[in-house]
Amino acid sequence: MSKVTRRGFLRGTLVGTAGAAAVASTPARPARAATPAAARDLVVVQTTVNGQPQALTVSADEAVAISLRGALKLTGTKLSCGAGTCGACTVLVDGAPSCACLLPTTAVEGRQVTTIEGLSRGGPLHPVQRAFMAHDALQCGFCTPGFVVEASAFHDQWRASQGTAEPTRDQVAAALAGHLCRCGAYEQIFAAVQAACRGAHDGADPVPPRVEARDKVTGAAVYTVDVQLPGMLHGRVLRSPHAHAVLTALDTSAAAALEGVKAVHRLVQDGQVVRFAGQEIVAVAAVDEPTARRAIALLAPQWEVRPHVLDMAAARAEGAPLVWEELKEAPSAAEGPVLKAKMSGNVRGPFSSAMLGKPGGAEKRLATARAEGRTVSGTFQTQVQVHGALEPHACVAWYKAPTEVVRGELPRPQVELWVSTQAVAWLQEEVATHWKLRARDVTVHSEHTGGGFGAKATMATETLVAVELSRAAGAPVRVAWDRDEELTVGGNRPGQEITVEIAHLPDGSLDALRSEAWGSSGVAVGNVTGMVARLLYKSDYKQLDDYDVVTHAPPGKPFRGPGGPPVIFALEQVMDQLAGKLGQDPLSLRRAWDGHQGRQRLYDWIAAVPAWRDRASLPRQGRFRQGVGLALGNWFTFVSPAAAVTIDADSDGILARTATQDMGQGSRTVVAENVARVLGVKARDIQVRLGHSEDGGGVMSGGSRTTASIGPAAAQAAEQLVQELLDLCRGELGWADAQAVGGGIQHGGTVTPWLQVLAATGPVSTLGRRKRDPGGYFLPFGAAGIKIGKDLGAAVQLSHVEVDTWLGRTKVLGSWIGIAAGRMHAPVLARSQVQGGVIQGIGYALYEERRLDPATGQLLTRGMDDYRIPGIGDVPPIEVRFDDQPLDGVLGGGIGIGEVCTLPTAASIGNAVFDATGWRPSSLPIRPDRLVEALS
Amino acid sequence: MISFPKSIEAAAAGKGTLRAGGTDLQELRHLGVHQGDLVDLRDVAGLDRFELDEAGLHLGAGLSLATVATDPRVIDGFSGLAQAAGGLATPQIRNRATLAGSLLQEVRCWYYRNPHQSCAKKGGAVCLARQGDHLFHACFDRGMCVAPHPSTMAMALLAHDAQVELQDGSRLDIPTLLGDGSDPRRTHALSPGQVVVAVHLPLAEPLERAAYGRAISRARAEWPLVEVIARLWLDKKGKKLTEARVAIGGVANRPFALPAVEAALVGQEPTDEVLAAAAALATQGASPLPMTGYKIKLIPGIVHDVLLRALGDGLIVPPPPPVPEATGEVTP
Repeated sequence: MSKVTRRGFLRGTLVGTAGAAAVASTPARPARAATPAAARDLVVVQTTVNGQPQALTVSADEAVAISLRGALKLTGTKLSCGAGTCGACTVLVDGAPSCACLLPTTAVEGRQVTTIEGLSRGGPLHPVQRAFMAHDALQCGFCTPGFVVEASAFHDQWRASQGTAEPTRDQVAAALAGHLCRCGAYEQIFAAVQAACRGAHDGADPVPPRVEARDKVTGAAVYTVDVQLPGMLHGRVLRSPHAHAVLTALDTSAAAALEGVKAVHRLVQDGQVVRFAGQEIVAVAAVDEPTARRAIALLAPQWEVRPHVLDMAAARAEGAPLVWEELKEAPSAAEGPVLKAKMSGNVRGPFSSAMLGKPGGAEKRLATARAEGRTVSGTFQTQVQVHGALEPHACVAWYKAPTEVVRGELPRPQVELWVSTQAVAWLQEEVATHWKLRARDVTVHSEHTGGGFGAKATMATETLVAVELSRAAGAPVRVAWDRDEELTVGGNRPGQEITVEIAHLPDGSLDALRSEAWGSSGVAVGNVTGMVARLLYKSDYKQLDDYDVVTHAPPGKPFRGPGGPPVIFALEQVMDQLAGKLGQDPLSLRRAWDGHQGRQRLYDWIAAVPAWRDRASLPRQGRFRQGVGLALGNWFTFVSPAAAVTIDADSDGILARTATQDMGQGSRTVVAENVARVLGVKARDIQVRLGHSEDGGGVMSGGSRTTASIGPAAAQAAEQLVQELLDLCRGELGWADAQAVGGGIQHGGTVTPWLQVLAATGPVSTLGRRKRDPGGYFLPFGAAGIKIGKDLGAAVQLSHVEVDTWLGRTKVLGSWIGIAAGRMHAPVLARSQVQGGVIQGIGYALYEERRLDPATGQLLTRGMDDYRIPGIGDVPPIEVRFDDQPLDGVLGGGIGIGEVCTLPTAASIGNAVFDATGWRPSSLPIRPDRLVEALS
Repeated sequence: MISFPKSIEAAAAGKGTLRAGGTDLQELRHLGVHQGDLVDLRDVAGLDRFELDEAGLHLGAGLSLATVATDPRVIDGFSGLAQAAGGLATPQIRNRATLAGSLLQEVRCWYYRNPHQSCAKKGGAVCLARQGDHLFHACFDRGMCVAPHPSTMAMALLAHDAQVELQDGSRLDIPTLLGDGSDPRRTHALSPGQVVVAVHLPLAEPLERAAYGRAISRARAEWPLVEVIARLWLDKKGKKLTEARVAIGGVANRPFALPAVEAALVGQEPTDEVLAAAAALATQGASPLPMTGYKIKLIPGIVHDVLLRALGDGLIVPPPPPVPEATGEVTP
């Protein structure tokens, strides 16, 4: 096993590499010459918002979304893509859905504007809101207000003309075509809109399966970008337009002198090198965002441009410009530490994932098999995929300078942060380390996180910049990336070139397996695919090598199932090639090779799917050709032993809290369900507080560790509560016969409900920890705060596609995914998360691709219309089957599913396209141009 | 500065860029690609006229695309236009975007829309897409700028022989409105002071069969790789195509008609073979860039598809040849 090295602070973000240690923050001086933003060219607009007359004073370009969120503090209207593509900002103008990001506020003069907050106006919820709650038609909730507003208009019009007829899936898709949901809650959105239209939610408010659903469908849920503090400033950054250059000079005095500018903070000093286009150079904080933008525009950096490399071939070529003079300076693209490997030029590796097998033996066996014609192989290219959460990276930082001496201690600054993060507790530690503070002097909040998918796991530049600007300005500072910034530096799944070779024995069993992956995480390193390839088919003879190739491109970050979807795309297509060679059907071959007991129970279900059973009769001639494809994926069992949940119970209610956060994966619900199960009450009877570092016991939402970590801790806290109450009842209250039963304490033949018990005993607090798993761990020690369990999560997926050979379009007609990961803590939410993973896989397989300008390295796919994620019309019915046999070795009986469900989709679509057309897609995405070129 | 003129004359005399729905302009201004003064048409009356008479269809410049897509008068008499208006962008955009604004919008090129890039359209020396990444660009190379013209409505109105009316009562056909594309800085040919007030379409022949379609990777809400509109007329017996108008977009810096395709249809029996043969002629004169050769392969398919959909049940299907017995074998 390679030695684990602890990488330095901020390895995941690049900011540490640019000399952040030598920053110079200067409070800006007001100047006479500059024109204040507020005095120029303002228009007064008289309008009506949610029934209330409003007079707004705005600039010519101010958008309705800005006026609503700023002046009117109606933050339910979300700003996400800024270009009318995602629909998160949708409001009604005289009843017509409109994108508030592109709509000038001057245009609503004399109009009626209705926002998400105005749909119910304190009265009963709109039927569409009830339906979204009942059907769990949301995950992170950031896109939800836009969907709900649009769907409410569709519903009202539909009901007026169609009564309670149910609209078709296609009619709903047409109506909601202007909305994007990155979490992929589309299946439930279809169900919700259809149900509302047929009148199923005209009555009472439902009890939602997701405990915070009401806040998300009413616009009440507060995300980081919604936080507004008194005196809050707005930060913006200047980014490098060059992929590789030396900053020779940068004069910040004009920007600092602009009236309204309160602080300037440099991230790159004169003489330092920048290594990708989009790298942050300098940040300013100003009284409002337009002023901050003007200040940035006043900066005129001078550059000495150097030659750059953007693709792996160029980076590997003889004499290629070096991205890092010392490759060990490269930041990590992983969540945790980077494992050691050889470095030379722009290449790092190989890193071998076969450390427990017999790698030398694999090569020998493959050579023999090759000579005997017992191998199949293929080489595959995968593109760069970006996370694209609809809430961008954002931070509101308040660096409070020390004011007084407390109890004789030296005065210390207090730092309070609101961050769109999937790691509140981890971030608290990171921030404390970086600014040399005590952890208890740092508070991090993330009440709701608008999607993460791996991109928000470590401290990133927006947080660094916000804290530094706040420190310099002495006021709270908000920094939130625009969409083009988010798509540039928000994180990405590295592109790969992967060769897989499989040798079989004469009897058709597995002989040896080799994979060689060349991946580029841009300027970063730490990309590993072999670890995932290693999990799938059992053999002592595996050679699994990964190479990093650094380029002058933005750094990669972990993305759901890091390394998995690319290598599974390669491996599982080669498996189909092997099945073809052996004359076996792809399902039988996998079933024969698969050692996963849980998944063995799912093959019969897949085999019975009509599209699979009757695959011989699918049309494979003419314009529209259909095919089916299978793929598997396995993922680790990770748990955080540090997970803890506190319960504060009194006669007013039972509150469970932990410094974990919910980015849509449903952790609030998991905590509530586990506490409720122990107490024998409903989840709705439990209040849950997440997303605040001071609550402690927090777990990062990443690597599919969260549920299996906090679920058992929550149950443990509830068990302790029961025990303490029993002790108090039997002791202080003298209820000698007290017994805990569902709903309360039984005593004297009657059951006293918990809250009444608490009224008698007084408040009780308990702390539940995550105990050791009975099944033990894969390794005796943990790393990066996690332990690796002995079980594996397993997925099997079937995709049914139709290829339009005229237009090169691949449409997924149906998707079936079986998951073997034990008991689901919150089954309704788990199903949605699995579907979302499949939908992200459909985007990865067919549409999504980050493209950089070869000449400059600048991002070309700067908006959501160029970076295309699946819309509701691209989503087929997705059937999910859980093998719900509990895992005995894991506390709580089940493990996370956030990664495993993302692994097989692209591979299964690749196999299905081959089945339909006879052409095997070797590159992602399977674009129309590639299909028509291949089939002509 | 921003002004809100009350009359079209005042708007024409105003200083600055005209703003109607703002669905394109506001994005460009937010990106920093567009700056300067605005003349907002919000308070100008009379831009929302909607009349159908014996002379044709008269649409105010300020009508929303949603209105064009959903009004029964358009759907009944000008179904290709309605489909085109309903097939572009998203419902929210169609609610705000105006007819004239959709004709005069800017290109979607990712170099043009990047404020850090100085392309020929922004006064730079060269077309950056031509020498860079032009995966979604032209395959008919007709001028320095290779960004496809973005206006679906321009293509659809071209196929309807529409004329735009300016504030002084003068009328321009669509090719004149758009210009020839030789100046990379111009996406249309209007000068400052010229304001589109209406669009006029000659009355359609009864029994018109029309369709619109675009080749895209997703189901909806995506800028087209190629888009096509077709209007077809059959004789009374349905045996012969008497007239055809076919236009194409997404492939050059201006949308254009396909006379060779039209000629190959007129006078022919409406069979699939005839449509396929006509569609194949749509690539005549194509001059793809290194990355857009695939569009040459897409074009016959999308033209054929749109012709088929336009014809609908008017397609004459010859009796099928005897089918060999199915073997149940899978053909790879």
